[in-house]
Amino acid sequence: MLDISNLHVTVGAKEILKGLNLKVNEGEVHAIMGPNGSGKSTLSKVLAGHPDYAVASGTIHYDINFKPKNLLDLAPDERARAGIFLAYQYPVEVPGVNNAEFLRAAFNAICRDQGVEEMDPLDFDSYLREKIQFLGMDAKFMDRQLNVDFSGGEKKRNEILQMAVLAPRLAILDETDSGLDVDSLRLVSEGVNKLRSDSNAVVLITHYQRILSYIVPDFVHILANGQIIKSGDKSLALEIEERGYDWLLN
Amino acid sequence: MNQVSPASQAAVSFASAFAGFSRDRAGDAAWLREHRELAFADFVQIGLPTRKHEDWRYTSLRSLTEGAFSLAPQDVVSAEVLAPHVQAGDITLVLVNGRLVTPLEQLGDLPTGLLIAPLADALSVNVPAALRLLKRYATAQQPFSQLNEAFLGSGLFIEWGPRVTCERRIHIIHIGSGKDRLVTLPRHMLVLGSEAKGEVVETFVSSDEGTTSFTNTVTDIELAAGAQLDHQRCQLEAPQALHIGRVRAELAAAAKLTSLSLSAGAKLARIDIDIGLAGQGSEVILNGLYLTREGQHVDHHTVVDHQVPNAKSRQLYKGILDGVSRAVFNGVVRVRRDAQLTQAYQMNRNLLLSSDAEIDTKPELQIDADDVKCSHGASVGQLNDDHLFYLTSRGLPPTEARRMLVQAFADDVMLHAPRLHATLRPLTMGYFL
Ligand SMILES: Nc1ncnc2c1ncn2[C@@H]1O[C@H](COP(=O)(O)OP(=O)(O)O)[C@@H](O)[C@H]1O
Ligand SMILES: [Mg+2]
Repeated sequence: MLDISNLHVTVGAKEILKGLNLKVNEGEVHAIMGPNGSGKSTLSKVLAGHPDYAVASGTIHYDINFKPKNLLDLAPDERARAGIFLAYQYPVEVPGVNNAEFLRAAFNAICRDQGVEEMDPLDFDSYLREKIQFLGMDAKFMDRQLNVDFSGGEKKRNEILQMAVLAPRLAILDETDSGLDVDSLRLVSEGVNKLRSDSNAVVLITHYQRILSYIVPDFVHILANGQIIKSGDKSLALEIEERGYDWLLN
Repeated sequence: MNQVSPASQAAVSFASAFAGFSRDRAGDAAWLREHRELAFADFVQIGLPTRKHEDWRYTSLRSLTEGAFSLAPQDVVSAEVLAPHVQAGDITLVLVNGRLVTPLEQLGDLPTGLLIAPLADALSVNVPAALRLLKRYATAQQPFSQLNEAFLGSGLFIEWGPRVTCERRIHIIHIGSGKDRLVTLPRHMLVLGSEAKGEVVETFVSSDEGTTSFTNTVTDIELAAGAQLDHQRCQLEAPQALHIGRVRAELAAAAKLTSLSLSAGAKLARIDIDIGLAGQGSEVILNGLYLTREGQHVDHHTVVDHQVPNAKSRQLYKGILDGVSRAVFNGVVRVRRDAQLTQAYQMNRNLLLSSDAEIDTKPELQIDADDVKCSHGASVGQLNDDHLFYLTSRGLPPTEARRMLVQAFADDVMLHAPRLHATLRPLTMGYFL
């Protein structure tokens, strides 16, 4: 469903991704690991369509209605409505915007796009409540301003709640596990696993093997210096945990 | 350009309206007629302010000098004009072109001790509070309050007796009607006895989008010891209308006034809010929200005068500006020498949605006491790109994301007036984009 080929990305004058290739099929979970500053978040932002990240060359194709489409032709909101979801490493705080209201607006924007009837506030409320409970979150969060004064862990869980509500086809999780305690990690992982199906895919960016014992990846890739330098199965993550990255970098 | 003095401009624009008005009111008490004559003479003498006046530096009144005004005639409006603003449970008073059209006997049961009367009636029977307020502001040297004073007689006198609480909101709806150069000059007096409690909303609308009328309104407020008033003013006039309004209030000990000024309509709007904190422990909260689009100009001037120790004031004014438009905020906080332990806070925040919009913001702190807590701030910014990206990356179309952020900026102020907010939200939501 996602095909990234020879992708070069620059921020300002600096080249960060330098010929990255990645193929993700329906039903798969891909873990991406790599040293700090290797370009993992950059990859996720490019997929989401962040305007600061310029694609210098290469292609990204994403299947819409079973046909590969040039993802770069789509605006960020169009990508989201086409099923791409990025759980941010650092979710921004948006003062004054009500968490639940925002989620409903996003959900309904996707409904409209797909020609499905929008959900009224009451129905949406019960739909949302169910997801909140599942993720072991406090319903009070819904009345708060979007991410404002949330702790690091609360922000991460709020991202996963958004993912659970919007039910994307391609979920990209950027270090969602960092800063989560063991219980939260388990609940978040269950949330992700619940989303998994034959028609969806997950790209999991992480530093730690820990989350991968909950969400078992089909592939593990090492991103270093703007390229994927090694791919393997879940045992590669264990090996990284033991040996670090140095042995791969030279 | 030939040079016409501001004084003669003033005379040219309003003299014939004043002459006609005086003829119509020839039967009024002699003192009242004289009072009006003096006020009009004052107005002509002061003249229309030009941008050379510090108080009008950023606001041009040229559109007032483009021909004579006549007094807006009696008129009726359709129910549709009113419908969006009428709320069940309110005591609703409708003025069309400054004339009260709601029969007072139809208001139903009012709390004992609450008096609602046409100001003209209150003046004709010499209600003490009405005369007291007239006297208090008689020497005001502001041209537009003098102009309003010259046409004294329309508007309402509302008095809450001591300890009278009116849970129902009193909603005064002003409707300007007609397409010519018409002027409306209502004056209201809101007098709350000690420990009394009330809520008053003034809404200014036009009968249709083409209305070009000029509204010059003054609302005088007096709060006796421990009285509480929530006053909201909502200016939603047609895009070519002219609006000049003033709210003056004096607070006795431990009285509390909460004020909201929302200004979204009119081509030119100037709103002055003068607060005298005359009693210890009194408190005023001033909130404001102004929205401007193509061709609009809105100017808020506030003056909070801390005359005694231990009073509090808190101001939050926010503006959202789009297109070629301009807004002015000028906030004076005066702390007299005796007014120790004053707490005064003032904040003005502006959101510019277009690079052609312009804001002039000026806090003026005049502090003569030494043991006070005063702070002020102002900001001018654009929509935050990170916020926009976050919302759109969840699927919201950019216009919807922008609207949500604009609304969030406005809500900060509007949440202080929840009921007004509910009726206005569709209006403010649709205002941009
Ligand atoms: N918006 C940005 N502006 C400037 N430099 C950036 C920006 N985003 C990322 N970079 C730089 O790009 C490199 C890769 O960053 P990032 O993708 O965040 O790495 P990772 O997520 O793998 O830690 C780093 O050197 C970082 O400083
Ligand atoms: Mg990162």
